[in-house]
Amino acid sequence: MSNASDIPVMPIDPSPLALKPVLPAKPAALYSHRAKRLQTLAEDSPLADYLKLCSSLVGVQAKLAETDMGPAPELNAALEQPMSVANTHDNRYWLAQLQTLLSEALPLVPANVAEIIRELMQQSPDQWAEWGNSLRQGKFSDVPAQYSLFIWAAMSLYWSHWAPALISRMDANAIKQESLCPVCGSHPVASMVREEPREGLRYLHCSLCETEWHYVRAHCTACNQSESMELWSFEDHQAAVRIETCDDCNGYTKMLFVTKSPQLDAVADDLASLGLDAQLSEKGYSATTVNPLLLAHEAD
Amino acid sequence: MTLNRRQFFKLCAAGAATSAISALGLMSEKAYAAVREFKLLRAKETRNNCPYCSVGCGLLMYSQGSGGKNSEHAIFHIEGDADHPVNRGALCPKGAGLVDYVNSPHRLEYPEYRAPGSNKWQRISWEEAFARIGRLMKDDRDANLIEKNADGVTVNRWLTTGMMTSSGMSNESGIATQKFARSLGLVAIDTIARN
Repeated sequence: MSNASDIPVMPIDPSPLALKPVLPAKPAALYSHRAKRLQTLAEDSPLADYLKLCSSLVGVQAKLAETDMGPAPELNAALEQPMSVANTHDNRYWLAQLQTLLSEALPLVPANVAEIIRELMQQSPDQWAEWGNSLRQGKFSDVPAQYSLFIWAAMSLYWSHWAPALISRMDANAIKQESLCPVCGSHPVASMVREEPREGLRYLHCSLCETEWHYVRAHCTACNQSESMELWSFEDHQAAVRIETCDDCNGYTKMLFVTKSPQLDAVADDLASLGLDAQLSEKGYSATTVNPLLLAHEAD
Repeated sequence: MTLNRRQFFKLCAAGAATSAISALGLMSEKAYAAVREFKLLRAKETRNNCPYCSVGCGLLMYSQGSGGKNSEHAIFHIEGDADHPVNRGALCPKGAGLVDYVNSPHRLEYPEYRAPGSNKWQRISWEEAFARIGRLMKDDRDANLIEKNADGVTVNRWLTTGMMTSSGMSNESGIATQKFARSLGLVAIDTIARN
């Protein structure tokens, strides 16, 4: 017998082409694809060492995604952004994931990074929890940048595990097109232009819970204007990786055309195309997205 | 405590921003610089509807200008708008060829006239064209209008002329077209949706 609260609210789709407002992630498959993709991208990248480190870390996420995540957190699917930091800031179960993740990653990383991991392991659980909440609130400069990568990876591993079941209990018709994740309220990594449920739809990929949510094309995903949208790319107008800028807010979002290149991963390919970010930055545009393997912010 | 809107981040040149990469000592100066040899392209992205039939499929159109703010933009790519509730990203063969229609060197840009028996088109003004069409319609209608049928009932049929209308029209344009054509007695009316 299942609980009444486990029965999905979403009706069965009348058409295979019907728009799905939210696509839940399959974390284990997603992380193992990402780890492989990072390895591939590292072969020809000026950031090879970093991409390999990320590949090891994401590989650990893939391995742990199959393991027990402890008791299910209490989440109210009727709330807006039920998994937001406001609704879950006192959750500490993810700290167990952080400890496991750090000890699994330790033997896989270079000596200088291992040293940083050991330092992080010596911090108190209170400190970890505080840093975790700061990151989720977008206060990146409150957290030592050398630790943020690992803390985010553990939170992502934990929350991506619980997101799909939560989504099945959310009312799909009540989900509005938002610039932040409708499940956990985090920033997106990038736009994914997908072939499913129908070719050419744009989904924003969540930086924390790995959920994807629909956002109409040719609209700014940060300010929702559509008057002055432009697509930028290197060499080819039809390139698989492009940037969409908005002249109203001067923000931009990376566009990854999975329809052109099925291997694209939101996090890995966003990270591997920093050169495009640099060019748009020089023209006065700012990213409106967060990459969990970069977590960049202005220097103090 | 909760974020309400997106933040903006400057990911500019190496060293100017703090990130996990730089903090872990793995930032390469080449990370941002390596791509300078590539040419950066920009394209304006707009949404519109296909005008060729009454289905009114949604389109995404991409154009590029010479750079200036008010420079004329040339459309180089058109695709179906996946978000559009009518066509859901799909286009018919005619719609799929739209970009070639837009840029075709054979597009009609002004009225032309070919005299009976001639094999040459000559350019005429819009005023001449309207006056000539009006004159020929009036003469044909005066000569061929059927005012009453065999039973003596008033019918006002004009069967010797037909009308091909646009199909990418609103209901309001549709009723205006009907009023115009039917008031003249035209019976044969069709739209370009059929070709």
